[in-house]
Amino acid sequence: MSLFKIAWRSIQQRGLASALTGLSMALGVALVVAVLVIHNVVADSFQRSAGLGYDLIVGAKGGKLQLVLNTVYHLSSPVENIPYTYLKDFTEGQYKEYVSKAIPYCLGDNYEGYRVVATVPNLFEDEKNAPGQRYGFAQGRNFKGDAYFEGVAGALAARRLRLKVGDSFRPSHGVLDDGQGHKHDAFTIVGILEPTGTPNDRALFINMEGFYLLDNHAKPVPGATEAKPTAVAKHDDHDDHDHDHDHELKPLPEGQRELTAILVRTSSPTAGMFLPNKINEGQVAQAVSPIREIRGLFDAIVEPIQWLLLGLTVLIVAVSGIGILVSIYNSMSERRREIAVMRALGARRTTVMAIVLLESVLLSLGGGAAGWLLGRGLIAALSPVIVAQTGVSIGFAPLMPAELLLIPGLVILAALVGYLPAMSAYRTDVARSLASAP
Amino acid sequence: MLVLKGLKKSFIEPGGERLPVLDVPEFRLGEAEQAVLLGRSGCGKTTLLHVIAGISTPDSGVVEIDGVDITKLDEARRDRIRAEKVGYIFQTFNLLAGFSALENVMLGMTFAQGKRDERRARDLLGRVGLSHRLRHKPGTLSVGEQQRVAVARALANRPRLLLADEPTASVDPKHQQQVIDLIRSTCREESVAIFLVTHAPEVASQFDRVEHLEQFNRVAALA
Repeated sequence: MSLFKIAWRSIQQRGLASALTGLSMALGVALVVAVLVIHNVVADSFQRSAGLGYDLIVGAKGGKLQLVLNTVYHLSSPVENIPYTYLKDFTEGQYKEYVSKAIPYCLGDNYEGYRVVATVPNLFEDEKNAPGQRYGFAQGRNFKGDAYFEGVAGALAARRLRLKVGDSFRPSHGVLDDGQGHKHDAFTIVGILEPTGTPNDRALFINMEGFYLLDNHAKPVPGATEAKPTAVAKHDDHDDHDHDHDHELKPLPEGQRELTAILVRTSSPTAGMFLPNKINEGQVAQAVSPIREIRGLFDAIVEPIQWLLLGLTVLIVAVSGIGILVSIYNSMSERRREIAVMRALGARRTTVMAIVLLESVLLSLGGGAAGWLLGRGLIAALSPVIVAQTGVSIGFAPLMPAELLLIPGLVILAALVGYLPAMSAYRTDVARSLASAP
Repeated sequence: MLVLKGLKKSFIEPGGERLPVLDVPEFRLGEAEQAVLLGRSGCGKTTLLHVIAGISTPDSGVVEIDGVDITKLDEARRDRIRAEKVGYIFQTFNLLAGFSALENVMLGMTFAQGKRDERRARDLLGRVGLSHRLRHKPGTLSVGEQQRVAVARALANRPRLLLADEPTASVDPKHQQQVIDLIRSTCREESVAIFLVTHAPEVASQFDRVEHLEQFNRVAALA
């Protein structure tokens, strides 16, 4: 019979106390694992999808972080607008030589709480949403540039809103679904994107040309006429808006158009260094590096909070360790005779000490293993909530080095908390303990 | 097998005074010899067994087991001698409650250097008539069965000397004879020397060699 078995028998003998002590350790370790994994995955995923494959986000001067959160993560409220004509600086004007791709974004509408992004079909055509990944369509196709009232849905938004190809939806004005926003004309879903693991999963994308033709989306310009006289005339004849009006519509004049942001992919790393300075020197807009902003956010706020959480959970594990100490130490007085019998059978002092330490290690590692499974289970259970709230997909997070450190960490903790009862066993007076009443 | 010479042991009382409990001039026990020490309770019989087993150390004197004076050894070596050469039967059996009969027998093997021989443990339990109770825990065994497990455990490591401390004291009179017969016959088969202490003359009368505590221990004689 091995010393492990002797230690295990002792744990079994104090079944309830051992189970409660192990459970306490399991909960502590589960929290550590959950914090570690979520921290790692969220940080990685946030930073990985920070640019959606773009180097710069150009928007109105103001809060840089707000621009990134609003444009990439569909969080926060939209910043001010920039003139549509500014886009031409990137596609054919002064910045063209620095730019390989420029995608305009118009934000400010939602559909039942899900952000509606007005953009160009080019966004999905050849861009990678993250390194090594391409947009794909689970159903249908991309919207067409000349079909003004077409749109596509992100995977999560489509699932939650139960949208399928052929359905239509009417965006509301404003980024929040407060029931107050004006209902716009309907767009037809022509495609459902495959899951990307990015915030784009929970957004709806519509043709920017259609967006401009919606009520109140034309910039008020003195002397300008209503944006879509033809359409309005036709809409007045109908109660429902589920009809094809593309053939009757004319694009909004450029002078009445505005943009929320432009996603820019620079032509070279050098261009990526020059271009922001050039843009920021001007009066029209600012250029921010989404990756830098998100990293800054993590470094300044998220990371310290994560470390604080990790510290707290490690403290919980330490308290659980003290629980093991109390549990074993309390049992020592009733086990004194057992230890004396083992000693009388030839066990050395160090042997009985090792048995008690093993008991502590088994409780600690057993609880730790259960806690690891519990933590991973917790993450799996919380994964859909995190995706829904942040658009960041956790999926199956690979084993992290920090998790492997739990094993030696728990063994050291067990040795520390087991030392006191182990020393008590070591010092057992065999003759006196054998003489005491059983 | 066992030699005691000039063995003295005393305890320090709470008041600081020294209380002598053992003063054994000389005692020798041969290979596979079976001897009994008869004396009333409270006269140092258990203390003597503890000293012989190396659980307690004497103030002075020699305790030689199989040619080795264990009083000259450090504690770890005494533990080794106890594990490998001495079997111990307690008055109250002292089986470990959380372990089965088989595990209790194998427990002793764990602390000796030899291999853990489950077959021998099963064999010993079979010889004491418990082959059908191997997986039973002490709480589910009768008093007599518990004592038989204790006998098997004491012999598990093929000791050269068996120390038995009032082995029949907790057993009802009907089974006392069986326990003594079992210990004596098993030790005879295994060529193990027995040094048994008892306060019961009817137990002592079954042994060829009977030592009386009053002659054996000068402190007891004075008392």
